[in-house]
Amino acid sequence: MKRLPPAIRPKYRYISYNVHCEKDLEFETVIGEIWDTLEEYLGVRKLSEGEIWIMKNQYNKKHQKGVIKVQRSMEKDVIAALTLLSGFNDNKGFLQVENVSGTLKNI
Amino acid sequence: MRYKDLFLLNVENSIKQKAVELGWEIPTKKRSLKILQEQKWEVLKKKISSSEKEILVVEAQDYELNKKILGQENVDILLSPEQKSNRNSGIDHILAKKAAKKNIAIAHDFSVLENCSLREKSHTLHYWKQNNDLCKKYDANFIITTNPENQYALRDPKNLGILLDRHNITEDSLAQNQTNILQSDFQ
Repeated sequence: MKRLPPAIRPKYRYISYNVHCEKDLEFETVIGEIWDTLEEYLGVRKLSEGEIWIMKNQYNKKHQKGVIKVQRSMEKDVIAALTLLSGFNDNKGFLQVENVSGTLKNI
Repeated sequence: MRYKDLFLLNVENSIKQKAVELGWEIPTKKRSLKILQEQKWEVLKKKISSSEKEILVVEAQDYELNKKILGQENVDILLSPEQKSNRNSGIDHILAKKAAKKNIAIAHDFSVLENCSLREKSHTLHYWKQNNDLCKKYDANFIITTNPENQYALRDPKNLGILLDRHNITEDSLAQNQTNILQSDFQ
C-alpha cells in the first residue's frame, strides 16, 4: 500500500514526560496509570481520535522519562489529562510534561 | 508568565525547593498565611477580627456563613466554596458581588481532585468554571492553588495552566490574580 501524501497525512506531536514518584518505576506501571488517566479524562471516543502511543523504546528507567506520541489536535487534552494523574499504584507521584515537539529528534 | 501560589508561603522548604524546580515562583514573605476553619460564626468572627497582619484564608462553610465571611474586611481569601455546598458551586451572583466589593478572592484547591471519584472530579471542575465565570463578570479575584501537603501534590504550573485552559478557566488564576492579593496587602 502506498503512503498517504503529506497534506492529508495526520500530524503528530511528541510529548516528553518526567515521572516524579517516591520510588523508581517500571514502564509497565507507568503505562498502566497513564492509560487509566487518559481513559478517565478523555473517554474511548477521544482516545481513538488521538491515536495515542506511549512509546516503550523511549522510556528511560534511570532518569524516569518517557515520550508519548499523539495527534496534534489532541496534544493539550493529553497534557490536561496527565496533570490529573495523582499516583502510581500505591505510590504518590505525578507526571510533569517537559517538552512538546513535532519530531522525536528535537525532544 | 510568572506562576505564583500563595499557599507555598506556608510549606516546608523541601516542598518550596521542588516547587521552584517545577517553575513556581515563591511569593516574597511580607505577611504569613493563616488558614481558618470554623463552623460557628461567633468563634470565626473573633478569630477573623483578631488577625490583622496575616493573609487570612477562611475555609468556606455553608451558604449563610459564606455570606457573613464575605462581609468581613480582614478576610483575603475564601477557600473551596464548592466543598461544603450541597450540589452547587457555593458561589452565586450575590456572593460574587460581595467578594468583589470587599476585595476577597475566591480560591479553589487543586488537591481536592486527588482523592475523589470521577463523578466528584467532573462536578468540581464544572463548579470551578462556573465560579470563574461569575468572578469574571463581577470583577472578583479568582485563584487556583495546589495547597500541597507534600512534594507529590505539586504540579507543573504550565501543565496546570493547560488543564485550566481546557476548562475555559483563565490562566491568570495561577499568576496575576495571586499577585493582586499580595499587592492589596500593601494598601
